[in-house]
Amino acid sequence: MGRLTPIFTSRKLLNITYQSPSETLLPTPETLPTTEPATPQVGYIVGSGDLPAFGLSVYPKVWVALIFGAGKFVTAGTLSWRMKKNGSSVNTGTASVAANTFYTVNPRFYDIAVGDVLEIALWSNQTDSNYDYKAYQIQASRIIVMGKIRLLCPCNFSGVTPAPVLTQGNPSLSEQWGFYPYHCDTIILLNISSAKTFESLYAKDTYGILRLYYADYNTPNNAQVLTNATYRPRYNRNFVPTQIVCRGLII
Amino acid sequence: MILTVDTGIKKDLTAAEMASLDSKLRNRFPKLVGWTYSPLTGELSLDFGEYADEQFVKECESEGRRKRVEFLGAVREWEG
Repeated sequence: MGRLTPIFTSRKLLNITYQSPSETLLPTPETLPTTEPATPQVGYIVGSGDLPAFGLSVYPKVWVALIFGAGKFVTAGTLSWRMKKNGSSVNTGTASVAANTFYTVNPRFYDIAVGDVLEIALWSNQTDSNYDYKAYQIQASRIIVMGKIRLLCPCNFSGVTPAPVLTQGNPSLSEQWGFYPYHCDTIILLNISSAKTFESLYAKDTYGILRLYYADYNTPNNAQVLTNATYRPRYNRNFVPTQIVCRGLII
Repeated sequence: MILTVDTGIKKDLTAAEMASLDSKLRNRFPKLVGWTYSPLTGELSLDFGEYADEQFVKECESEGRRKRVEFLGAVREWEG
């Protein structure tokens, strides 16, 4: 008597829990230096407790970090910044900031690991600019749900939420973008910002089943500077999956 | 509008080199709001904020060719 091999796996429920963003608002703002500081104002060492928690053991994924550093310019000037990973420069830039205006640097690190040191150095060409806020959150991109079984039928992104949600300072959202689903390493040009079901998605090695917008699809290892007369931090964020329900097709 | 070029140079800029580049870029492009440069990729992105002009993009593309930098594209930002 033969035994039938199941074609589909059992239903897999993958819950993803993101850590609350680490936020610090200084009680007294620090004056920005007029030359690059030896010790960057914003610094985080990636800890295992900072990583999102996965309800299932998930196969390859890429960790990304969204960091924010903010303060105020009293006199109009130019803010300079440098992103460093483990002491090496990852990106640099400047931004014009008007008088009596808050700035928020939105750096995004792509492909980080536990133990990495992520830093942002800030300096100004004016003597009365300051810094008083920082925040950080780790997110996951390029998720492959099962190891050898790559064809998911269906694949339901049943939970989607914007992240991070910043609360300290006087925060204001600028933009938030959904993630892109991928099938056979090809982008499906449908920005996902709410629950969505696909009849099938095939997770190949490079992109898995999704790619986050900020820090991966857009501005990986790069930063944006947003300015605002009222709000600090002023920030951009991703929509991230919080729950994926799927079955694997054994082929 | 953000214009991105591949400078073909992957060099870590010192703070003094950043200041020099900033001064040159702002003299050349008075409407420049900010810029980023990646020593990992050699990409230089010029942020012109709300300013967007197709003729200006063509001029930049042409200037890029003369200076032998590859013009990677222009992106219009909807919100700052």
